[in-house]
Amino acid sequence: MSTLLVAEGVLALLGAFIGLSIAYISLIGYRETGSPALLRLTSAFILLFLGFTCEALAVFGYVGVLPILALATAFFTIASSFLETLGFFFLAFSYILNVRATQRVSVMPLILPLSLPVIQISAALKSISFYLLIYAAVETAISYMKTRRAETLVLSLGLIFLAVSELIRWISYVELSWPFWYSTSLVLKLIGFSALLAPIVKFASLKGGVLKNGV
Amino acid sequence: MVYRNSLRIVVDILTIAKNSDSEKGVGITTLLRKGNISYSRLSRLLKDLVKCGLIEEVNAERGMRYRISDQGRQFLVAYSRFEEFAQSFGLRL
Repeated sequence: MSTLLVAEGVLALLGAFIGLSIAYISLIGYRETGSPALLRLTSAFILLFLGFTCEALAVFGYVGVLPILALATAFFTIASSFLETLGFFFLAFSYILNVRATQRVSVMPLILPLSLPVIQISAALKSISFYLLIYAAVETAISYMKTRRAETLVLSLGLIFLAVSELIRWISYVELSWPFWYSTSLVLKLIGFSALLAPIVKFASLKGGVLKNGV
Repeated sequence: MVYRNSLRIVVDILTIAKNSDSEKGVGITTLLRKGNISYSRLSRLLKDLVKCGLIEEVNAERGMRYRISDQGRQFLVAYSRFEEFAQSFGLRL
């Protein structure tokens, strides 16, 4: 169980890194072109970076990798859910304007009285994130059908994998064979995060080509 | 019909200027026709673009002409790169 939770923490750190990378590229783009779409993308991925970082801190605090964080686990859990939801909202909002964890919630004995509200708040926020993720994935898929860009399809599939990962994690809470479901959820999350690298890779490969050839 | 935001209109005007004769520049009539934009809006836009240094004014016999500056060319290169990036997300700049 502890190993799986540590793996979840590492995955959250990977998500934070990818979020920061996308936010950085978007921020440069916003500064160079002044595009509001890139500003919304920057806001979304900065929030996702902060959310995934808080999620990693909550997991590491719970499993005792970083004992100093144990007392603040509940705070990090709620903060991560809130920031991720807000991040996914900004992402979904970009699409609207364009057309148009268990969380084995880190139940620390010291914060037991807070555990129930933490689970409820976190679960509610995660549910909203799930719907926003599905919405963003569908919009990206529709966009793929128009543009036929491979990286758009990969990104859409990545968002779907992240959403399905969340859904399977919920199942793992009520299933007796939770390690299986929990592991599956982590694998899907890893695939989802890897797919989010597509735009970064595309941007990096394009940088040299466009500059060399001109517009 | 695709809705053009103000950034897209700026890019269209800069592209027309870039594709025209780089020395002589392009006249306002060509910009109006190819840019598909009203005279009053184009006048305001050109004033802003000249102020930002993306376009240069050239005095010609038959009136003012406009040519793209180096800064304008750099802007188009940056726009092209980030347009590709945004399109990866299925978004338009």
